[in-house]
Amino acid sequence: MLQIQHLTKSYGDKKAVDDLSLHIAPGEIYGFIGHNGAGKTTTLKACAGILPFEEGQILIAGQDMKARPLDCKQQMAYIPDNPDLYEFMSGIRFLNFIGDVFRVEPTVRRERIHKYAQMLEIEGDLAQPLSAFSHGMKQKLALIAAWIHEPKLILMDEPFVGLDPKASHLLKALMHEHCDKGGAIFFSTHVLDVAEKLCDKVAIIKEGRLIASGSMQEVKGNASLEDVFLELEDEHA
Amino acid sequence: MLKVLLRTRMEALLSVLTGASRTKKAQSRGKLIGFACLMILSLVSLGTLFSRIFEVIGPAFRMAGLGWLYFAFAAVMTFSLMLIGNVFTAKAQLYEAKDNDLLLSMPIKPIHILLSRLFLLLVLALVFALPVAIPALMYWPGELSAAGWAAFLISFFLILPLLNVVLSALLGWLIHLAAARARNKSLISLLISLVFLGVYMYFSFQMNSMLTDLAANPAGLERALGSAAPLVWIGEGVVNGELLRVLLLLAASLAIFALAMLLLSRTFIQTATARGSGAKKRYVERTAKARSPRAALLNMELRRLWGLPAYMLNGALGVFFVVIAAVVLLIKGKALTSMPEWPMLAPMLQPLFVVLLCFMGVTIILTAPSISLEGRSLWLPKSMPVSTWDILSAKLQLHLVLAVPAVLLCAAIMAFVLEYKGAVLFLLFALPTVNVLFIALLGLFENLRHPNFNWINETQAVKSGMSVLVTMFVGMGFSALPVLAYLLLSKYLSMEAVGFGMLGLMLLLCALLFLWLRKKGTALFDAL
Repeated sequence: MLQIQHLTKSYGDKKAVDDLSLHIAPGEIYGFIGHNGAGKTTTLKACAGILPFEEGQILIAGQDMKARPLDCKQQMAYIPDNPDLYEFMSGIRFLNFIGDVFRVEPTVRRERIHKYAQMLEIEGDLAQPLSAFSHGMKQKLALIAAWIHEPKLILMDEPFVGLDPKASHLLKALMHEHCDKGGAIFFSTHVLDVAEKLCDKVAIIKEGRLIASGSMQEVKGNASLEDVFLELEDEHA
Repeated sequence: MLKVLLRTRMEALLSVLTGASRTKKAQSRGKLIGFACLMILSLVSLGTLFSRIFEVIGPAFRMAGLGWLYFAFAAVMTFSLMLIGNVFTAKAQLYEAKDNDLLLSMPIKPIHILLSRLFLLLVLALVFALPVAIPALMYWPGELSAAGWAAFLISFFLILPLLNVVLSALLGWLIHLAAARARNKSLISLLISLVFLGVYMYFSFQMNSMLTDLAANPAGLERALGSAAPLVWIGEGVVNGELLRVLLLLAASLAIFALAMLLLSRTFIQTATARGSGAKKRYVERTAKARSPRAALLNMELRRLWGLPAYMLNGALGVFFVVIAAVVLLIKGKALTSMPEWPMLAPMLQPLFVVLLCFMGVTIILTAPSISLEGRSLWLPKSMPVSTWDILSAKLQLHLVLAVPAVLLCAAIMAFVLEYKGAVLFLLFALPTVNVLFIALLGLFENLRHPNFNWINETQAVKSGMSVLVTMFVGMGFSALPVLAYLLLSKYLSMEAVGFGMLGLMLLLCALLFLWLRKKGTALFDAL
């Protein structure tokens, strides 16, 4: 579903991502961990088509991001760490805008908005302007916007930040449901317990370079993910 | 701590004004000099307008022995300009700044946050004082004593700015409170802004007759302003060198400023962090009408314009100007064209109105801040399955959809009232329309080259961006170019030939800008 091959992205002289390669297959929940500034957000943004990159290739469902960016974006959704949405719109207008851009048929769109907004308990707030939404409510709206066109691949940057425990629980269920249907999820997180329980595979990045990747069992063995992460960080210091 | 805040505030202002980029490259000296030149040009243009007023009333007031009234009137004009310029900035700076929460969470006294923001207003008030106070002094036919000079400087550059900052902050606070309690904040802000603007425009339209009345009968103004002691003190202080009362006024202004500070600091946290108590709008589930992605992008841009009063007022105000001009022309057109002092201008009247319409078109500036306004939500258009050109062309379309019909309506009414025929009739429709297209393309070109995402509220992006200033001045320059070209080439070329030459030049520039936007512009947007 997502193939990252030798990705390199620099900001000036500094390499934010250095020769990174990953493969996320359909049905997988893939966790991406690393300390602050390790290159997680840059990688996710490059995969989402937000940031141009100098070297390497990103393939979404077999399509090259550089050659066919619109086809790639049509098949995926991206949720940033800070959901800065269009504050001049109401919740429902924003969702309809996303529905229009991703060409979701109006009746299907209505059903999905109803389903997810009710599930995340923000249906009653959808007529409110986004400027009146709290961080958590915006995060929930960003989740609905991501799920509204049923993408094959969902990219999420710290998706659990700002969500209440119930919404976090629901998000985990939604992630499993999405992957059970053949979709894939690639997300970054600092919450290692969540990554350990939720992910099928995990990648650890440090200073833009991949220092470990594979199935959860392969990476952590019998230790906890936290111990392995800290150990690897020290090894590559 | 206050010093640090003041420095941050000035850095933020400069960064927004000069278009500091995301790449955090240092501003080039050329860019800063260019920006300073633009600012000076704006102030000189405004100063020229006020010069005309003082040039007319100065001798009349001197002859009537009402020197104090001349300076009292100048004080009123200075204060009014400061207020118009500062009141919405005060609201945005004090209560809608996006960094209020961050600053309030730090060990900083609220009064220091308040003072740092008020300092910025004070700087702006001083800038607004220049184009009125300097012409008032230049066109006063009498001479001032040393004490008179001191009274002038203290009055116009200390007392008036201090009082203006107090009033702007209080009015900004009231507008913010009114908007916070309303369900539709944008609409309330827009309505209040339009009321302000309406009053301002009313006085602008009445200026000619007011000036004639003032020059002929200063006693009327004396009766009106004579009862306002502070204005009498300022006027007499400057003309007669009576410094003591001006110093008393300064002490009173400082006391009022301190009192206002005390009041504002007590309510600052509550007001700045208020989330509004407007009634919650009920969501009714319904099936939306589907739009194509391109239509959805244009609709989103329209929503942005409607949802941001600052954008509407600063960017689309020209649309109102053009429509109002069309209506005024329809009602008073015949009277305007048969004014006795105009017969010698009669052959040039029709081309001059074409130039005037081009000028009015320049006041519509929607694309110039449009990239900066994406701000932190820039990730949204970039992650959507729409081409970069579609994103940019939605911004161009917003400009054209609003500006072109207004300009064409005004042109049609001009054609009817002034009975245009032949080549000039064609130019009447073609030149202003192409000019609107040029401004739209130029604004987008400029904003792609100088985007700014560091603003703390939308007003900063809309009002103070370098791209906005450059677009406005270049647009005005191009609107004036046919007049200049005709004045220089009238021996060799007819007015129509100059008009067609200008049309050709504008079309060529539009084509070049269009090609740049399609190729380099899209690449620049992708790299943001």
